[in-house]
Amino acid sequence: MSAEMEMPMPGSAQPAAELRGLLGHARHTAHEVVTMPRDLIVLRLTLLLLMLHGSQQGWKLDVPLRVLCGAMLVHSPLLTSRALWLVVTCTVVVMNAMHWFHIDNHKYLMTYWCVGCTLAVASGSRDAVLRQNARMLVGICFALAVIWKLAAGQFVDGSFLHWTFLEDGRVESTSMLVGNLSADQLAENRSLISLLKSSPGDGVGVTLSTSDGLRWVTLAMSWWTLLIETAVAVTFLAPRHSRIAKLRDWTLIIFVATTYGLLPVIGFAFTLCILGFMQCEPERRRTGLAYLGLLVAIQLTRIPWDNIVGSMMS
Amino acid sequence: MSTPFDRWFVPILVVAIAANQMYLAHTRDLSPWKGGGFGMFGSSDHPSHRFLAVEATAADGQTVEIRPGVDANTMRRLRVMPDRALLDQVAAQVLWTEYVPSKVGRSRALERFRAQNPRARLAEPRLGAGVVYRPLTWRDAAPVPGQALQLERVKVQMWRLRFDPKRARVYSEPIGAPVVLQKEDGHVG
Repeated sequence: MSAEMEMPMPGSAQPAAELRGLLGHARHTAHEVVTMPRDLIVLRLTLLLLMLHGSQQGWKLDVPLRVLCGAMLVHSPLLTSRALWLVVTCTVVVMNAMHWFHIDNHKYLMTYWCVGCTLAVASGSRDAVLRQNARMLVGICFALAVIWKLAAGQFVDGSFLHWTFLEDGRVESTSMLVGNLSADQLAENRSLISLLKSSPGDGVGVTLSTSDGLRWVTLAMSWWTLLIETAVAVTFLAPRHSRIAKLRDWTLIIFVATTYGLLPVIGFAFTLCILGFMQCEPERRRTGLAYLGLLVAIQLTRIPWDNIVGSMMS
Repeated sequence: MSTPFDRWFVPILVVAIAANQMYLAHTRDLSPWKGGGFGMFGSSDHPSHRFLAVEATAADGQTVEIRPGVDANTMRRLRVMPDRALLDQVAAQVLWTEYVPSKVGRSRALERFRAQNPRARLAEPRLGAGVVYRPLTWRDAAPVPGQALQLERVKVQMWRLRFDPKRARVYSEPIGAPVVLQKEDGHVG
């Protein structure tokens, strides 16, 4: 070994020290976050949610909303202003009411949550009002989702997810992996459906390429979804101090982690993490941090993993 | 101190809107995915699986294939909750629009579709030359008088896709009755 290699490089200890410093800083920040008043963190996160996912319905209300939320976010005295929360909520309500027939359900959930935030800042007990509304919103939202899944009749037998995996380009990689279907077969499925839309008629139909493997996997996924959504609904709607209610944080965390990794609806996942964090008991600090960690982790679903892995493989 | 209103207004609002959504879904074909009832990812009856079918007859009595050129917002409304009054409006708009020829491509999927549905009425056989008409726009050169296609009669109807899991077969199913509109007497059927 040459003398040159034996000698420590100048500054080689610096990256390690910097990393240690960063980790220490992250730990300190995490401690600060969990010890801060939870209602204030949640109000900030809600403003951030509105800025990122509040609206894509034109600029007239969207731009003022983003500016207002930004101002409330950076200037602490505005964070708990009753008048400004009322303006924010009215803006969100008007924006979504104008497009009520086609907005997604998480836009409804955000709107309800804004109403809850406004009621909380106007009440004498901000934390309690936010906590109660967060818990009830999650519970009711999941109960309704389960009711629809049972009522529509296409979930219990796995047919909804089966069709989704045969047709939806967002889950193509999973269909190829678990269903042993080729990209060509899936593209052809989509083309067949497109042709069917241009020539409808009684008795007109197309048979899609599928596999038994995909049938079984989608059936298992359907039952898992029903199970976890029912668990979230029951644990969140159960009385707060009951034994079953103690499981509620983990049912929601498992749901978000297993669902939005596959079907990334980031606005919905973001909202659920805020609601979960708010209703989490203050003494369960690690669980609170888990919600915040999940909130960061769901942003990773924006990365086009398919393309990255595909290009690495090729 | 929080009041019962602070604690219960939001939950009651959610349930009230969801109940209304369920009512509209069962009585007026509102898509379960929309309307605030949290019916997403539970049913295949998504607005993207609903579509408008138009049967058009030209002034010379020939059946022609047209792209109706309905604006995106109206189309979105029709897909989410097909409304009879809106369908009447669309039929009138389609009937009174002028059209120019467009092109239609072929694909392997088209051949497969034909093999599976030999009796289905496709655009190409009807048109012979494979022409699909689209609305005349301001971008088009002014057509020679009488060259733009004018319609005599239209039939519009909303359809949705259904899935038969046993056979992995997707088929179409009408939503409500069709609207038929004719220039001669303005009859709406």
